[in-house]
Amino acid sequence: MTPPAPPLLEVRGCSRWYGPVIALNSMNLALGPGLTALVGPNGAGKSTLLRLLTGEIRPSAGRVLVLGEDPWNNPGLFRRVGYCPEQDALYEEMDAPGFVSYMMRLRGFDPAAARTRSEAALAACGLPAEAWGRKVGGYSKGMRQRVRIAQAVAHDPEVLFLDEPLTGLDPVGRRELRTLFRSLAERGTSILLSSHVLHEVEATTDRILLLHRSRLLAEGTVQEIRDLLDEHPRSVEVSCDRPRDLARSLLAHAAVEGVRVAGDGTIVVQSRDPAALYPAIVRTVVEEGHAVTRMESPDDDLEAVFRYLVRG
Amino acid sequence: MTPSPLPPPLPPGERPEAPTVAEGAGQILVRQLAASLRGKRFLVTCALAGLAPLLSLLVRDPDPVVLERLVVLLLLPFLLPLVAVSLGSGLLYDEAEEGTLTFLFATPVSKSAVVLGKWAAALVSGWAVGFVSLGLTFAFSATPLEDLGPFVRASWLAVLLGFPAYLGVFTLLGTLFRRGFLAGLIYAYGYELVVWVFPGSAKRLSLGYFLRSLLEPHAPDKEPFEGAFYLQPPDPEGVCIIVLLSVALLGLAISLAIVPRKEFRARNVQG
Amino acid sequence: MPILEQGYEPYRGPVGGGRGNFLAIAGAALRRNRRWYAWVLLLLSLLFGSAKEYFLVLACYVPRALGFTDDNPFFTAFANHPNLYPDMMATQTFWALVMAITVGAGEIAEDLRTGALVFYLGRPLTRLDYVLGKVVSVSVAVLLVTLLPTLLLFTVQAVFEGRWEWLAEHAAIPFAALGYSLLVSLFASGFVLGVGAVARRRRWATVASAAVLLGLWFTALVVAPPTGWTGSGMEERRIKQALAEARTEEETKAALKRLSDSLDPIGSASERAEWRALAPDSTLAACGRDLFGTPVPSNFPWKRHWVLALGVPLALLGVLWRRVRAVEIVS
Repeated sequence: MTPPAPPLLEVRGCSRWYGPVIALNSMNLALGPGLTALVGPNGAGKSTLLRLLTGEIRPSAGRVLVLGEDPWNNPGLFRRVGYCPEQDALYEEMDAPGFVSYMMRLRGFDPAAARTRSEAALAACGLPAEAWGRKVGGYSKGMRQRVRIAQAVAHDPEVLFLDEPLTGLDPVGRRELRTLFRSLAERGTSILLSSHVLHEVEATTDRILLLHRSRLLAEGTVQEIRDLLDEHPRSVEVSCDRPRDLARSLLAHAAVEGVRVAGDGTIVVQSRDPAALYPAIVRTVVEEGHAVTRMESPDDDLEAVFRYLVRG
Repeated sequence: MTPSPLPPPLPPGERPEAPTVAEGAGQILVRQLAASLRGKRFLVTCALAGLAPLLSLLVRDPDPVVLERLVVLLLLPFLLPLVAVSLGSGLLYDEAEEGTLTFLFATPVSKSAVVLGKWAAALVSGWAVGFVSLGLTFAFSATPLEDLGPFVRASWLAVLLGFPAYLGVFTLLGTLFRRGFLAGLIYAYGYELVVWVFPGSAKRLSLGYFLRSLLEPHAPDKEPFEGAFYLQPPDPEGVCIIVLLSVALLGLAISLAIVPRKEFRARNVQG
Repeated sequence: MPILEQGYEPYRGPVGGGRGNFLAIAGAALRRNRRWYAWVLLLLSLLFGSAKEYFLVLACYVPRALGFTDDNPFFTAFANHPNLYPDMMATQTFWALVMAITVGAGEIAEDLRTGALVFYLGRPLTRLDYVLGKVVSVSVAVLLVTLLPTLLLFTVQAVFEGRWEWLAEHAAIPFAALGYSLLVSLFASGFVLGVGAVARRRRWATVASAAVLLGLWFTALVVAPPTGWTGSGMEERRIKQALAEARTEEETKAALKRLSDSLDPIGSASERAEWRALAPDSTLAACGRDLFGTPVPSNFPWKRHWVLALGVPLALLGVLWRRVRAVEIVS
C-alpha cells in the first residue's frame, strides 16, 4: 500500500509576533490540492499566514512547509509557486506584458516563452489587449489587479497564493476571475485565496479556513463547519398562508426544537437535526395542504457560520 | 468580454531551471537601469551633480585654485556622497515600502542576486553621473588643464574609486537600517566632516581622508587640505587605492551576507 | 425624499475654537517627532554647538570657585570676549538648521501624501492655524538647540560672577540671544517648510532641504575665496601679488586696504566676500553679530544679511501658503 501523499501546505505550531503584537497564534494546518479560502475579518492574520507561506517573513515559532520545503530563503521553491500580494504595487513605468514577462524571465523562462505566456496570462485574466501598450501606472485599480494575478499564474504554478485577489474589481471582473480560479484548481493548481468578503468566498469555493484574532477558528466546508455547531440550532424560515397551524403541527415532530411566529405569515423553525427537519416540514405541508410561498435557511451561508464562530 | 483560456500547462520536466545568481542579477540590473534612467530620482541626482559644472561655468576664474576647490570642496565631499546615498541607500527598503519587493522575492532569484543587480545598476548610473559632472567641470572651466597637471588624473581616479567606496558604505547602511537614507546623510555630512577635524590617525576612519590623499600631492594650493592632514600626512596612492577598493567590496559583501537573513517589510505591514 | 432634493449642508457652527488652535497642529507635529534620532541629533547639536563655550567658561570660573587665586588669562580672555555668545550661536545655527530639516522638512509633504492636510483643513482650522502650528513645531526644536543652551550658559556665568554690576553690564545678552533665536527659528521654519512643501514624501522633502542647505554651504566654500574671502589662503596670496605688482600709489593703497581688511581683528572679514552670503548660517551669523552689538564690517552699503535672513523665509512661507491653499475649505 502506498503511503498517503504529503500535504502541499503544512503549518506546524506556527506563531508570529510583530514586536508585542501577535499576528498568528500557535497555528496548525495541513492543506491538500484544490481551492481553499482563507477567511477572517481585517487583522485576523490572513496576510501574515500568506507571508509566512511565501517566505516573505519567518515564523517566530513553529514551522511552515510548502510542497514539503521551508519557503524562507528558498528561492528555488518559487519555480513552482505563484503569489499575488495584497498591496496595490507594480513597476509603474512598465507596460503590462513587459512587467509579466520580466517576472517570467526571473523565473527562468527564455524571452520568447516569457512573452507568449505573459500575453496568454493577461488575456486569461481579462486585461483588454488595447491596454497592453500603456504603462501600468495609468491603469485603473481593477486592471492593476488583473496584472498582478497574471504574473502569479503565467508560469503555471503548482501552488498559488492570492491575497485579497478580487479587491478593486467590478462584479463582472470578480465573476470572471472566480471562474479563472476554479478552472486553475480543476487542472490541478492548489490555490489558497484570502478574503474578508464572505459572500465572495462563498461564490468561489466552499472549502474554508476561518481565522479570527490570530487563531485558526475552523477548517472544512461551510456545511461541515455548520454541522459541527451543535449549540446553534439550524433555523429554517417558512412563509405560508396559515403559519400558526403549521407551527402547531411541526411542534409535534421530535426533530423540531422550537417554532417562532415572526409575522408576515412567516414562521422560524429551529432544529439540531437538519437531516430530519426538512422531510418533516415537507411532509406536514403536503399532508395539511398549506400554501407555502418561501422556504429557506438563513444559517446555511458563510456569513452565519462566521457570525456563530466569532461570537464570544 | 470573455476572457481567453489560460496559458497551457507546463509538461512535466519542462519547467525552467531557476536563473543563476549572474543571470538573475543581470535581469535586475537591466530593468533597474532602464527604470532609474527615466526616474525622477535620477533626474534630481543629475541636477545636483550639475552644480559643479554650473559653478565652473559661472565663476570663470582662470586661477587653478578655483577648479581645485570645486573638486576638493564640492564634488568629492558633497556631490559624490550625495549621488551615492541617493542611489545606494534604499536598494531594498525603497521597494519594500512601495510593495514591489514582494514580487522579486517571490521568484527563484536569490535575495543576494537581487541586491547584486541593484548595486551594479547604482554603480553604473553613479559612475556615469560622476564622470560627466567632473568632465563638464573641467570642460567649462576657464583654467587651462595643463596648469593643473597630474591633479586632473588624480581627480578622475578619485571619482572612479570614491563612488564605489561610498556606495559600499551606503548599501550596507541601507541593508541594516530602514532609514538607511538618513543614516547615509548622517555618515556623509556628519561623521565624515567631524572626523576631518580630528587630529592624527583618526582621520583614516573616513573615506574623505583617502580621497583627499589621492589629490593632495598634486594640488596647486594646499589650503583646502589644511584640516584634512593636520598632524597626519596623506597616505601613498597605492594605499588609498587598496583601502577604497576594499571598502567598496567589503560593504557589498557584508550586505550580501545580511540580506538573506533579514526580513524586508513595509513600515505599516502587520496582521 | 427624491434624491435631487438632497444637498450638501454647509457647516454653520462657530469657526475656530479660539486663538490657540495652532497649538493642536504644533502639538501633533512635536509628538510625531519625538523619535530617537531627533534626541541623538539634539545631543550632537549641544555637543558641537555649545560644548566649547561651556568648557571655556567653566575653565575660567571653576578654578576661581575652588579657591585658586591666579586666574588663567587665556580662559579669562575667552570667557569675557564680546564674541563669546554670538560665536557660540553662530555655530549653533548650522546645527539648528540641520535639526529643523530633520524634524520639519517632511511635515507638509507627509500631510500632503497621507491626505492629513484635507483632514486638518476640513476642521474649523484656518490656513493660518495650520502654517503657524507647523512653524511653532519647528521653532521649538530650533530653540532647544539655540536659546536653551545660551541662556543656561549665561545663567552659569552670572552665578559664577555673582556681581550685579556684571549682570547689569551684560543684561542685553539674553535679549539678543532671544532675538537671534527667534530669527533663526523664522528662517529655519520658513526654509524647511517652504522647500519641503514641494515634495510629497517625507524622504524627498528632507533630501530637497538638506541638498539646498548643504549645496549652498559647500558652494559658498568654493566660490567665496575668489571674491575675497579671507578664510582661504587664496586671498592672502592675491594680496601679496597685488602688492608686488602695484605700480601706482592708488594700486598700493588698494592693496594695503585689502590687507588691512584681511587682518580684521574681529576675524570675520570673511563675511565681506560677496558669495559668502550664500551660506545661510553665515548670513544669519552676521545678523547675530548686529544683535549682540559687535557688527561684522561689510562692503555692502545696505544690510544685505538682514534682507536675506528675513526675505528668504518669508518668501518660502509664501510658497507654503500657496501650497496649502488648494485644499482649504474653511475660511
